Amino acid sequence: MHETMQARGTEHDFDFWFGSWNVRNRRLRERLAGCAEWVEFAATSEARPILDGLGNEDVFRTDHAGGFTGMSFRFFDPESGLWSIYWADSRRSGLLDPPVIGGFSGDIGVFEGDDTFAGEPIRVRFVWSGVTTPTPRWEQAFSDDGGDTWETNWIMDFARAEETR
Amino acid sequence: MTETAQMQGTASDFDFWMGTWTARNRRLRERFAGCDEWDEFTATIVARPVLGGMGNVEEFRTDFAGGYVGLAMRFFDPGTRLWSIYWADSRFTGLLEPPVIGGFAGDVGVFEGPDTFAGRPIVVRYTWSGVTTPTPRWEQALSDDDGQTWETNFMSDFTRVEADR
Repeated sequence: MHETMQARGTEHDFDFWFGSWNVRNRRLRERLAGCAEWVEFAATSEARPILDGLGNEDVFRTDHAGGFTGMSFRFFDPESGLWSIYWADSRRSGLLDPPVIGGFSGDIGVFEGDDTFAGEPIRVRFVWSGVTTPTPRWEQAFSDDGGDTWETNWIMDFARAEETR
Repeated sequence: MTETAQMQGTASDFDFWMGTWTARNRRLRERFAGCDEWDEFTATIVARPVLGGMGNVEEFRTDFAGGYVGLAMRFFDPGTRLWSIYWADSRFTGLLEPPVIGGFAGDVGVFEGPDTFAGRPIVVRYTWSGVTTPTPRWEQALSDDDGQTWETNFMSDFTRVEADR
């Protein structure tokens, strides 16, 4: 069990996230390949509550890579105090990937789960930071050694797009 | 694999469902208990496309049983031409249950997947019918003998709320 599983939250943990955002993305060109080349692109994100506040969804839109839409669905479990986060993507729609699970400690949120990459088991980690500031950040990292070492492969920096609310 | 997995669909299969609906629900009071008592209640449903038309999200809202909100998430896989359907519920949020998977043949859609009930393995089946008529129907049935016999425990008959479109 990782320490992320100890974080207990509330259904309001993602209230900071509701509304419209401009997103500056930096995405590692290749994953788990020793790559140091980052691709930068812009996106928008729009988040709102679902399930009467026990969850939320956001829509991520970009023209990058031919254009695609992603969606995050986040569900809060009041018993465990943990969030389960699922990602859906217009480029590979169908079955959802396994969720990442976790919560916040202060203004840092860590969410982890098992997945596969190129047929091999990996750990996936989402890290939210600066969520009490006007410019929150989200990062994704993969580990192919059971969580001993991590490679960050996607960073999103957010700034609020008030006028489109 | 059942025959439902052989069906071939398109991302437009649920176009009939987009918009606002009133549901007349009949729900079996107890499951796998030889019960034949049904509760009747109403719900309102709003369905909208997501992921650039590769999926859709439906909100199901009722005052029944203290009031709850459900969320159906449907994602079309253009590779298999099958739909994966997930259900989230404000009464038990957190991890999603396994999806049901399937598609339509004519105006009947069948979607099946494994789950558990009271700790036992079961199969869940959703059946859509009359989807080309003004009054579609959705039914849920469960099987605890690997699909040999089924108990229908939820039926919803829908009529469109035109004014809300």
